Amino acid sequence: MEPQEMTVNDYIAILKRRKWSLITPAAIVFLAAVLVALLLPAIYVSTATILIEEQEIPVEFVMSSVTSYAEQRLQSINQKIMSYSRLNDIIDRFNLYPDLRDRKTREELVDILRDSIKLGQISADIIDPRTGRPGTATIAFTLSYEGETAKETYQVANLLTSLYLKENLKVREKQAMGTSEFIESQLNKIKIDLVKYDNTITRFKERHANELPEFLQVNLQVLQRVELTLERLLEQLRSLKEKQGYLRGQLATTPAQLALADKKDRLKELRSQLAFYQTRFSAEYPDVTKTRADIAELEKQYAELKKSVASTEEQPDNPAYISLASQLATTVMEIKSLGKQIKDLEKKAAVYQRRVARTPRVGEEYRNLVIQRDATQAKYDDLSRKLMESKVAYGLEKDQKGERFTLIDPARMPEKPYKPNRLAIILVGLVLAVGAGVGTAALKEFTDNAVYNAEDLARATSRPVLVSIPEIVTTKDLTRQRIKHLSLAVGAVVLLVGAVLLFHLYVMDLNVLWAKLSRKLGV
Amino acid sequence: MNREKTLDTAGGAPANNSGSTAQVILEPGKLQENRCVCISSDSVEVEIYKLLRTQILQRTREKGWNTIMITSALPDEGKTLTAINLALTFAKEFAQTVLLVDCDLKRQDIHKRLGVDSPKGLIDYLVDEVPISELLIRPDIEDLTFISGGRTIQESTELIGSPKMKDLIVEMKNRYKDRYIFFETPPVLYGADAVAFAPLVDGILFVVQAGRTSIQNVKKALALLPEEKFLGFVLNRTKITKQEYAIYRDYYQ
Repeated sequence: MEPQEMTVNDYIAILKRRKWSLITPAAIVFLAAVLVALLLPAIYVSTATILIEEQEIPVEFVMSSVTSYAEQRLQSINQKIMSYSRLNDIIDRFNLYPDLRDRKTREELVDILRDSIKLGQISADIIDPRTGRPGTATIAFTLSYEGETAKETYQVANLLTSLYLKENLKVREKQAMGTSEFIESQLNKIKIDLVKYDNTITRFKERHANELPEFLQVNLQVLQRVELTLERLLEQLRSLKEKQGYLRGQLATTPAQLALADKKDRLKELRSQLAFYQTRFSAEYPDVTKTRADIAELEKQYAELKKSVASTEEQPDNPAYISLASQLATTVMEIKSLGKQIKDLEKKAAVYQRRVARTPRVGEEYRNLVIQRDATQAKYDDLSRKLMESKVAYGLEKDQKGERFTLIDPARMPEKPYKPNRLAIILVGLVLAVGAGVGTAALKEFTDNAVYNAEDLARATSRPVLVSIPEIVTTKDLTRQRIKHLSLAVGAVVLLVGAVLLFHLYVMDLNVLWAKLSRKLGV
Repeated sequence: MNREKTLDTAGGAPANNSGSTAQVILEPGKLQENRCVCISSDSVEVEIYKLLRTQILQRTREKGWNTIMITSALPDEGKTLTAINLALTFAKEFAQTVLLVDCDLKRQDIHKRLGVDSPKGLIDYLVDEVPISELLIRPDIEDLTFISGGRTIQESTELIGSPKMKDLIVEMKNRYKDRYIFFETPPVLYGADAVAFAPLVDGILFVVQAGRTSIQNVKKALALLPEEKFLGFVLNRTKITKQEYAIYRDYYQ
């Protein structure tokens, strides 16, 4: 059929010929909806509200060591509660799903239970006091359980609530305790480290006792003093050596025997006399020659005497000689002792010099050691402070002064099932039924290409339609139709009465049914 | 003219055999029951058939057409009933004789509808050379004769399209100029009979059942029929409300 403006009459005609296409699906759908509404099992729900309370003691005073957000903790607790074993325990304890036990596996039952537990969060818009930024925070949460009977629902919801509260406490306490235990163990480790560093430093100090930087000044002073002394001693040594040389010279010229000394003195006198004469007189001057002869005589005598002295090895008896000799001996002795002193001092200077030279390196090693020790010490101090804090925080959790869950609205025994909304289902069914009917009828109408009226036929074929002959109805037809209608009506009534009677007798008393229906529909 | 016509209803049979035309009496009650309503003028449908008759007359007379085939796209759309009612309505027209021929050789049932026994039909003429005058049945309605009954046959197309059939129609057409001859043929889309028969007639009347025949089938059938011979549709079995029906009835009675 080509698209054509449809008039109200066309619609009425369509409605008339599609009467049954419309009524049948609509009736089926509506009946199905009514059945669904009445047969769906009632579901009760019981809900507990738990408030998340903030820490009582200001954070500035005591910082809790439980830093996870409440939501996060809630989720982790949720996971724990929803574990297979716990839910399984709950199923056993309350004997849940007795009619499903034979048909489903344990895991499926646990899954069903898991699906019936719902955790809802109640959030509020807040401004974070620390950052000043707006955000949302969970201030409370609801825990609900959906079950088949009011009592079971109430009991399970209650148990779940207590499980949540207990688990939260446990988690917080454990977390707080875990923190302080961890810090303590760390502290012990660092303590051992610290002792080790101290020992190392002590040993190092022992080994490099004189080379430590703090002794540098002393060492330098000592070194300076030693060097000064050394210089002075060297000076002394030099003068002593000079004296020795001189004494040696003197001694060499001083005869050991007194006679020899006299001769020598005389010789000396003569020589100086000669020198004196020679400046005034010529060589042939008698005094000069005489003196010269005397000198020669004397020299001869001296030599002889000396020879005899040397061969006889007599003890020196010249007091001058003896005095010189003893002086020389003293000087030699002094030189010797001075030399020894100098040597000692030089040794000492060398020691100190080495010390001074090594000081920078030792100093650095020492500093490194000290820095390491200090760092460890700082860590140790920090940890001990933290340990104190965590112990306080543990106290906070133990006394339940930290953030905590408070049950503000315990689960109650539900008075009415909250699901299903039977009236709503029936209403929806009604709408669906109308839709299904209209849809089927429309579909039939649009897929049906049959000719219904003369106009359509003439339009579609461009040939004339001479007449439209209505259905010829005979009196017999009318009678037959009447009989059919009548028998249908009688049959329907009989069927209905029979069905109601059978229902009443074999399924349920009608009074009971009425009571049930009124309750189910919430009237 | 009326007198003459009565004598002439012997059809295509030779004149010397005119006495053999079978006379039958129709039972009004049975006809009513079979929906052949145009027997009595107090039926509401009569007026509609009269309207059809007038239209056919208007369209055929000026062209000199008097052989009309009645067919449809599918079986059971009301061809037979339309043919009978139309023939009855035509016969009741003053000065109009009608011959109704059942050409549905596979399902001869005009005589059944009319509630009469008929041992012989068109097949007997085509196959066994039985003279036409022996086949003609004259009911107790003035100006109406029909041929129907006897056996049925499956190889109908060959017979329908045979030269003998053609000769017969020419003969029938030319014997009495005023007589209208209606041929009821099998449906167009069920076998070739109607298509083979169409060239032999002057006009084609096409029956369509309201709410059953689809436009596609109508168009398919039309494509097989010669367009120039097409008289028009009869839309059969349309639904009218009881109120509409009552209005009709009250107006005409």
